[in-house]
Amino acid sequence: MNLLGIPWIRAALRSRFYPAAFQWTTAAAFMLVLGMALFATNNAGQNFGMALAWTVWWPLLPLSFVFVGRFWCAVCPLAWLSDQVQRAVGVRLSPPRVLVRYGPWVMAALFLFVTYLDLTWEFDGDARKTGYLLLALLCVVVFFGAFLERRTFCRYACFVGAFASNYSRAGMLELRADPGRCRHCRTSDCSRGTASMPGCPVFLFAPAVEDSGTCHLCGNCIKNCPHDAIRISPRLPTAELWSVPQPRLPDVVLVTTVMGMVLIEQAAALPLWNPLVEQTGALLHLDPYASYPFIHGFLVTMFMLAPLAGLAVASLASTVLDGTVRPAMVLQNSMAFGYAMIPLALASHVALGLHRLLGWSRSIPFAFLAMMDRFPAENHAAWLPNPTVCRIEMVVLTLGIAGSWYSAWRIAKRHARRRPLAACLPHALLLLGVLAVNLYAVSEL
Amino acid sequence: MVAALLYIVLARSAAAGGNYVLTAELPATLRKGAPATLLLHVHRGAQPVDHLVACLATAPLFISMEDALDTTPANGIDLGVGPEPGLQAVCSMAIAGVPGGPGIYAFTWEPDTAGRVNLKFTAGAGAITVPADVDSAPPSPVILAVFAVFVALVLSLAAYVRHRWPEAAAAP
Repeated sequence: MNLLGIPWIRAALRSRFYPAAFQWTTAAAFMLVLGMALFATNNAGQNFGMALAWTVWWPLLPLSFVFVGRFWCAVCPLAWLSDQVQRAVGVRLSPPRVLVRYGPWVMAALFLFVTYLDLTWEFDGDARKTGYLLLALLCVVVFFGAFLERRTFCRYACFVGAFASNYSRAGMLELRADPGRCRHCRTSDCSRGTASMPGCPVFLFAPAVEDSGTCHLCGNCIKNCPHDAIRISPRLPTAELWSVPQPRLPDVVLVTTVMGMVLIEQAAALPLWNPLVEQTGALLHLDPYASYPFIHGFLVTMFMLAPLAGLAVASLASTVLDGTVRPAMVLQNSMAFGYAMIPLALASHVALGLHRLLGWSRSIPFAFLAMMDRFPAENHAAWLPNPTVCRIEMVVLTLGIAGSWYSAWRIAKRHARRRPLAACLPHALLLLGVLAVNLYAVSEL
Repeated sequence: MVAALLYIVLARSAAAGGNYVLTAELPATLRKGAPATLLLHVHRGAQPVDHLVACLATAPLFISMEDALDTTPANGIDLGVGPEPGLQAVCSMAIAGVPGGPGIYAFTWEPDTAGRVNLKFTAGAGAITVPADVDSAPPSPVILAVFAVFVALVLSLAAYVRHRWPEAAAAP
């Protein structure tokens, strides 16, 4: 089914107001968030910009990748700013080779860095720190937009892109080109652009697109293609993960890292967190409070490495059970089965976001009122009672484990040499372990 | 530093071991995210018996109303409601070295939705409550200046390069 066959969708995506109208809206929202983060109250609970950013946008972001792929990237205000800077003063140099080659690692490293800053210094609870983070992002985006062509930042350096890529692969939407119609194309307008419309901002050539990890759904190729070869189709969630043509190590490292990030965010809200910090301090011979950033950094590292280590062990067991034990096979196994972790990582990320969205979202009208110096007596911030939120999170996690298990089974059938079920089993157990930890955290929150 | 301590509250309280006079000094406005120093003097009659210099390591930051009422310490430095473990650890660090005085200084922090806080100290059976407004520190002018200069430099340099080598910039 091609969604572009539906007249109003086709008209909307070919309109010159797409994605511009969305970009103007998000750019205005971004300015509001930045202004309030820098100049309004530092109390996140009373700062409307902070509520918009951390209680609405951040929790909804992973969910959006499931339903509409990387649509957010098409309407991202930073990408829009980069385009404007480029139009005004852009030098449009090609991206450096090192960035092209190591882009996924750069994104992964930036994601880890920002996550560490957020978790250790609680950026989401401090308006000024959020403001400084946004200013730093603006600096980087302005630099990239001024000197490098297209959306080099989005493609090779954006930390949101790091997990957006993986999540979109598990999503329900794909953009592809019809190879039959592209065969005779001599202009490559989808990639190069035309006089009236730039080409693909993230350097894609539509006929070569094999996954949904990079495409932003900006619609440029749809407008540019003279052969009407582009289609946007719904698909089964996780379907793309069953047969990834060229598994990449950074993707797998990122998905395990995201799992670790969710786990540590949940752990930090549990009663066991303080004893854990104190014991870690004792283990490292550090004062748990004076050296908190270091201890927290250590814990973040451990939490993020744990799922990766689990994957390595499961892969070793998987290759042994499949009867093909060689170091290269273990790595290959890890890279293939790592994609099966994406649905569960996505589900745990969404569940964490729902906890915030459903648990705190009433703070948005409170923050709006606080902006006008009005403080209602009724100050319960949750839309739904905690047990209901907990049940919703558990349903999301159940869907995630179902997607992960099925993906693992499909990957096993594709990659296992002798015994697919045996090769799948260690990974299924690893996923079960991660699910159990998530369920425990959700039930305790 | 003394000049910075704008707000002085006197409270007399009767403790089990005699009459204590508690005097607290702290800035009239605490700024969220910025450290503040608090001085608590304890006198019996005219004689000072103890003093406390507590560093409110970071004034509290509440993400939501629930968070404000949550006694779980966030990272050991924000002060929630009630005698929470993280709070005590901070206080014990802050009062380390203070000679034995009237007793343990129970220290509570009561936020309200209007952004005010009431700091309550207990010495023996006596107590003092110090109200304070909580305001936000303005953004760092250094960071804002660095941002403005960086952006201006980048844009100027790019504009110059584009003007000087237009053919390079014209490439798709």
